[in-house]
Amino acid sequence: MTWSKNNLAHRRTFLTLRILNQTKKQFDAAATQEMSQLAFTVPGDSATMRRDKARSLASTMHNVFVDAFKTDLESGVTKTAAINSMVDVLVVETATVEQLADSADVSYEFLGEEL
Amino acid sequence: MISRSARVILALTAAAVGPVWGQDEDTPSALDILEDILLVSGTGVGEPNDVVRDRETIDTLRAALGSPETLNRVVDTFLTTDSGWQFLKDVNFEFMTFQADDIEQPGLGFSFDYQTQLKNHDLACETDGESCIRGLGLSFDMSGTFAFDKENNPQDLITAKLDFDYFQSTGGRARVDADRVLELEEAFVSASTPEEGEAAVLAIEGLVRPSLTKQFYYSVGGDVSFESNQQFTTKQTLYGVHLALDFKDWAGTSAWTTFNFLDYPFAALRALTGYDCVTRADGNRDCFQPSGTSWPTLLFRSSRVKPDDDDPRSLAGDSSEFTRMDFEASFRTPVARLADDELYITVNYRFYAENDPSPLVEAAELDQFEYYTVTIGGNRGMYLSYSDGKLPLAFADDQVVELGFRTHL
Repeated sequence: MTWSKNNLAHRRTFLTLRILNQTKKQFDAAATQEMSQLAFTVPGDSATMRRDKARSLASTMHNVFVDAFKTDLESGVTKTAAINSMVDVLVVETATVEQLADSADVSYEFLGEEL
Repeated sequence: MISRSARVILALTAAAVGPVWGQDEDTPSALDILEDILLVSGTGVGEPNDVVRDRETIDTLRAALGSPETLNRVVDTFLTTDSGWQFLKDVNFEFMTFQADDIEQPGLGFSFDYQTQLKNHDLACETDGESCIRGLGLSFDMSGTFAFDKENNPQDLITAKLDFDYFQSTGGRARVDADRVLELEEAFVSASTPEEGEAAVLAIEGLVRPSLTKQFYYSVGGDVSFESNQQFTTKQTLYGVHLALDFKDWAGTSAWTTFNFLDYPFAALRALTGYDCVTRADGNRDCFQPSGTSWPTLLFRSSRVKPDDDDPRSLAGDSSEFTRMDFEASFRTPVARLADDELYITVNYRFYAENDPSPLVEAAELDQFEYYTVTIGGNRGMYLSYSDGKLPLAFADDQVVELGFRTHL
């Protein structure tokens, strides 16, 4: 999906990453930023370490979506499934912020999305 | 007829994979073939000066084509969604160079790392009247590093692991007026200039970040894994349990941040570079700000190891099963801001120790292993990485210096 401020999943994933100090980029430049460039990534981390760090970050991303942006999970999607869906993107070093946002879009029903 | 650029790509790809196929010294290398292509098809056939110029071009190309950055760019051209090579992105495939301390020439190789969640299950969770996140997971991961010259692989450890774990995250909640956040979000959407948009983003950060509660995350689980060197001549199977701990003071206002002593040297660097100075109520500027999100993430594991006959311990005379304790710490903190980029330092440290090793294993110095990687760099531009130590199944210590340049964005 084209990176756009008008896409709720795109802009709220971006804003959440900014709130959590994972990126310093502005919106347009953030689309192609890779997971290896987010602040939780450390070169040399083992696979288990990276997955745990990704799950910790995804848990807080979930909380920010819910608390700050009044986001609900899509019907039939559990919290753990939504978090693990983001984890599956976060652990891929070359995956982009846009791909992370698209992954969140599948699991979350962002407020205003139905309009 | 194949175009010149296509021939260059073919030769380059062959250069990358040729050594894996066991190219011997008498066989012309792919770069030699490339040289012939350029000399024959170049503009300078018969003109000495132009031949010299082409020779210089070839020398330049030799250096450029052998670099992992060039190879990674070539690989990227194949990684479109409909190419059939998209899986290389999912396995984090990347060409890299190694400069081990006892090898004169840098060596070329590649790394890979694939992870996938096979199953997950949600569990109800509430602590101190506040909801938390709790679940079960089953995952598979496989990672490793190959050097085309096997003697030049300081990270000679390939692992494949099936992992079952239970995790819980408490805190990390935003205690904020969501309606106010949504108003600021509207200002961000309707901003007519990048500056206006950035001002709205900073306002949202300033509203939400201080409202975030402290987060504590842990996971416990069991795993079965297989470790090998890159030639699969030494192997071992492990059955283990592990514990991971992660803590974040997102708001950065509690005593947990004040007493993050590990971050003090880097906070001092940030103060020197004016990274995050704040003006206090009394008008004085405070530039020494330890980070509440720079606590190291810790991973502990205890494993029962069943070695193969050709592993280093067996060659030292002890082929018995043993128990191994592993520890890993991961740390990252910013140190300066350069234009719109951030300069940071990262450390990954691993320690492996055998419980109650035999005298033979101790004498061969195979009872403990230590390995660390320190990186300093920004998200764009130059970075410097230094690794030292030895991983299980490695026979010798290696120091590795990697100087790179990120070209993304």
